[in-house]
Amino acid sequence: MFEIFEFEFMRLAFVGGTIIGVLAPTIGIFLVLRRYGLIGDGLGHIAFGGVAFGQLVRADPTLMALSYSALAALGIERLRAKGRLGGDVAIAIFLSSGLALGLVLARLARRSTDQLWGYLFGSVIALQPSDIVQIALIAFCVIGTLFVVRRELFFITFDEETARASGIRVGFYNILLVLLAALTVVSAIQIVGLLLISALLVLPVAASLQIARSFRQALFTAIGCSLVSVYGGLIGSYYLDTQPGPTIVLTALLVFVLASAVRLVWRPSPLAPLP
Amino acid sequence: MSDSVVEIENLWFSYGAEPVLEGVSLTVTRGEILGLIGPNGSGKTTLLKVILGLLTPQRGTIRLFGQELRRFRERARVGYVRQRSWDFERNFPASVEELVRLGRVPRLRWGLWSRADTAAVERAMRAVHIEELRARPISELSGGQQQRVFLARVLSQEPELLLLDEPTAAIDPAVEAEFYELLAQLNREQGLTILLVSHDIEAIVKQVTKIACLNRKLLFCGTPQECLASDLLERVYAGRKLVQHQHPWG
Repeated sequence: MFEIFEFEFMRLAFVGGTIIGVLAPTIGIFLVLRRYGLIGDGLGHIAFGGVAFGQLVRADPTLMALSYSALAALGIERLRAKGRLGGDVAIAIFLSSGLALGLVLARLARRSTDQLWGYLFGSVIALQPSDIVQIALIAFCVIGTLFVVRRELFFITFDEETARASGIRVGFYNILLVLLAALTVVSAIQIVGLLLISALLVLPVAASLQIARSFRQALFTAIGCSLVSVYGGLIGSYYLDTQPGPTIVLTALLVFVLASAVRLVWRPSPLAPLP
Repeated sequence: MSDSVVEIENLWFSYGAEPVLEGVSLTVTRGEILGLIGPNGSGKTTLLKVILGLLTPQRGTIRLFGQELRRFRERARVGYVRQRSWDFERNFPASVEELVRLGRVPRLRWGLWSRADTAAVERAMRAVHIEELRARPISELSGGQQQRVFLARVLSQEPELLLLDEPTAAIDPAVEAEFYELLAQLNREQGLTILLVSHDIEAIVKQVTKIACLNRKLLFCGTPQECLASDLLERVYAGRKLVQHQHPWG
């Protein structure tokens, strides 16, 4: 059983997976509850446009991907805050246009898109120690910031209007949240891939929402579900000889199905009358 | 020191070309329970939102606690329970205690939670008798219990002025009477000034000290007795049924 840890790449995968496994649902719970479940996918595709643009102007691709996604995140939030569009539509607009712009710019730069995709799609079993340091630093910053502003974000997530009436700077916290999401997604896709990060932002949170009875419980359950998926997926992929990212995602799906089953048996529907 | 908690002078507000408030002037003094009534679409909720700074009026001035609204920074002194406060995401994971604790967020210094904050939360839960429910998810409670939670949240904020927008629209009449009795008690014991929006004059007439009737313009402001004695209600509601509960389930 423990032979899996004899390989350096597997040990690094477990460490990196643990960091992403904690980071993704911690920010994901706020995103999911604000109906930003697709923001991971959206920002990932938008980052592609940023990398292409970076190649065109010969700027650092990571920096360009981050700036480009951050600008898109601000745009998404602005469209949603104006109240004319739902968060999902705002994400869809930026996703498709960001991706299209990336492809057109890549063509103009006479670059192959294969190279761009390769740049953005990391794999959890190809981690280097320097990747671990990078993602650990980002996780520290994002989780630390979320910890400091957790009460305000929780208030805004539950009832934005009342939070605003109480004098909470709703606009500031909303922008902070989408910028943290952009930072998380852009850093994580380069290290573990778009599929894994966008799934871990949403699936463990969706599982925890089936059974949690408080916000605190939902957060810790989501982190638990996420880690179970990461470890289960890594071990599964090793023995089944499958790709680690998709195996982790499928394990997370299984965890979600189990949580839904537990809810059916154990917890009454929220709409059911009280005894 | 002025006894006025809210002073509104010649307030005009419109959504685009549609005027909603036309030259409204109104004063709420300390310790008062003012019932703001009027038919649907008469601008009651808009007036509350303007007082809260959520909407910016085109003309007119508002002072809260003697300070002009634009310069007023002590938002925690004003508590607000919005209309349809029960209308949240069904699956939202929040326990009763977590929601009551939100009331302290505007009061926290440097974001640090103190014993005084815990004590305020406990007092608020005791005041509305929900201590037993503290660990329950909000989604499992009845409409009346949820409304108590939202009231506890705003009480834990320790406001001096409480703005309530149709707070009993989702609860049955027996629980409604109890809710208004609780408000009257908070007003007596803690000197809380309350501005209560309702389209249901019969439910609030016994509890309020003053009634203001709004239909884009302020049509009346006086004691409940004066209001009932006048033919104002007949004119404003034009024979329409006064009591129109909007239950979320029908």
